[in-house]
Amino acid sequence: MPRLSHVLSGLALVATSVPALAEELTLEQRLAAAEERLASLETRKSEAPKVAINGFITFAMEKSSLVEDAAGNDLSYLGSVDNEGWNLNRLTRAGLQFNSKISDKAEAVVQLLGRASDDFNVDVQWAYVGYDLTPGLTARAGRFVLPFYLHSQYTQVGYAYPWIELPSEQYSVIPLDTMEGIDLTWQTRTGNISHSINVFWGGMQVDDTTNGTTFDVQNQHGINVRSEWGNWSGWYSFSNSEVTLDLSTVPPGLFTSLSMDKRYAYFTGLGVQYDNGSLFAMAERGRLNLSTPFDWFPQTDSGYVTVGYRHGKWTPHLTWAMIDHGDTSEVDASGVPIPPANVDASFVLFSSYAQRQKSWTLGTRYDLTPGVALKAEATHMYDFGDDDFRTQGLFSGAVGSGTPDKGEPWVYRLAVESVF
Amino acid sequence: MKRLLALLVSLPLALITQSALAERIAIIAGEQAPVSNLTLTEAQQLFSGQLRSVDGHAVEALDMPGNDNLRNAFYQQLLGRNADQMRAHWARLIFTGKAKPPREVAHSDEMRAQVTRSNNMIGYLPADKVPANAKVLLIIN
Repeated sequence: MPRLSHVLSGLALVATSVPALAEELTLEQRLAAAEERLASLETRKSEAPKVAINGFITFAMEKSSLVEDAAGNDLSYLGSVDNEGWNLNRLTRAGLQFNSKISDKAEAVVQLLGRASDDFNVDVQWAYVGYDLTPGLTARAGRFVLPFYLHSQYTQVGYAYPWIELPSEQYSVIPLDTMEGIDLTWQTRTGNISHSINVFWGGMQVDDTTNGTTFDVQNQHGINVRSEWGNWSGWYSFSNSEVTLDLSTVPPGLFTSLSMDKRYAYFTGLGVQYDNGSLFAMAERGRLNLSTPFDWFPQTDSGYVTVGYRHGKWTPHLTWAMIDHGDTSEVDASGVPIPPANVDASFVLFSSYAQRQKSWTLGTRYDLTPGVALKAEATHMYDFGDDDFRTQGLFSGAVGSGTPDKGEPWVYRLAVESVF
Repeated sequence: MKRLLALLVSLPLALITQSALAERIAIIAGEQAPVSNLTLTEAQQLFSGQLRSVDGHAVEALDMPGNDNLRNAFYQQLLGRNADQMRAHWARLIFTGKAKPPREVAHSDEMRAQVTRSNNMIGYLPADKVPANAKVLLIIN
């Protein structure tokens, strides 16, 4: 019985202390004091955590229709999607981001990304230290994702945009990559328009899968401006750099004279977006050019237009996209014939980089719950060239394969996207 | 003619129920805060991560927890966006290091406590539940 006696004596204590307190405070006052204490405890509990962790996951599967050139060679979309089974790993990926506040003005951010196609080997996308020089002006140093396109900085976060794959005519022009460098971002307002103006400087290396070489990009610097006005936003970017490319190792060893040594290159992009909460539309244009010996690099123009409509949980959308190359007449013959057909070396290089394609994509997003979305889309590609010059568009096949000719080129995708 | 009359009568009724459904939500700051009002544009920019200072004073927005009805009504009325859309909006900013979403409080008591104790926090509460030691910067209908 010792427990019961404890309880009884405890009760007696409570009974005596309550009337004692009640003499000084009314019930309401005590309640208010208790609420105050509770709120203060809660305040401490939800102070911003030292390290904030956010993540994203995309699972995507895709497949194409049977696409062949005139000779019957199989062609695959972006080198990995064909009609023989679902490709589950090209777009499947996961990322984790750590934001840590070092002081009121300084912050460190690291974002890790693992791609299924790379066996989830972890790659660092963002790693920088930021410092607020003033409330509106921030300087950062470290690794960043290239700020070339309207959506390029969150390209890995599929949940952030309506498609499963960003329009590849626009977004494959420069393989999306990171750069090491420094940047400065100024957030300001003119009337009702808010602007984020960013200038950056850095360098990077871009693996060139076309010819198995590496573009060494140095002194990359540029500016981009994002302006928001109510339902409208605009994007402008310009960047230029010095590119070095060693072609002496490319078989059959006849491209050496076309190598680049610190040659000027630029990319410029323009985008506009409208979103009133249910109806949205966006359009983007891009141009890439590299100054190369004998002008072998085809100036590349790209763009797309998208419209979509949110109705409850559903967001159907339609996109038209294009990529096109500069004219063959701009190529200056280098005087190095490549056997067996003895085509001029600069023209051979031009052909390996020139892409032309148009496409329609119809898709829909279904928001399962805030933080999880399901998506489906189908893309039909057409117009890979004209009578003067035919390209493979975004398709490729065995050495010597040609333009898509047989079958209707379609790519189908399904995805689950999440942020957490 | 009867039908037209009925229509004319029901139209204003429909409008009244529409606006009665929309909750009056007050955007508030502590009584000591240097900021004393916000324009609609400033409020929209503040709660979507595009504004970090008002009239040169650094400010910090506070949010109700993720599944809260007041929060959903607030963003629907202020920005015309639902919870899914706000989540996608913040994903675009968080993963590029551009901005962080407002810090979430646990409930409206904490919202009131946080705002009234500081001079740089800006939060929101139903307009009829604003405490005496807070000032209203803007009313959203």
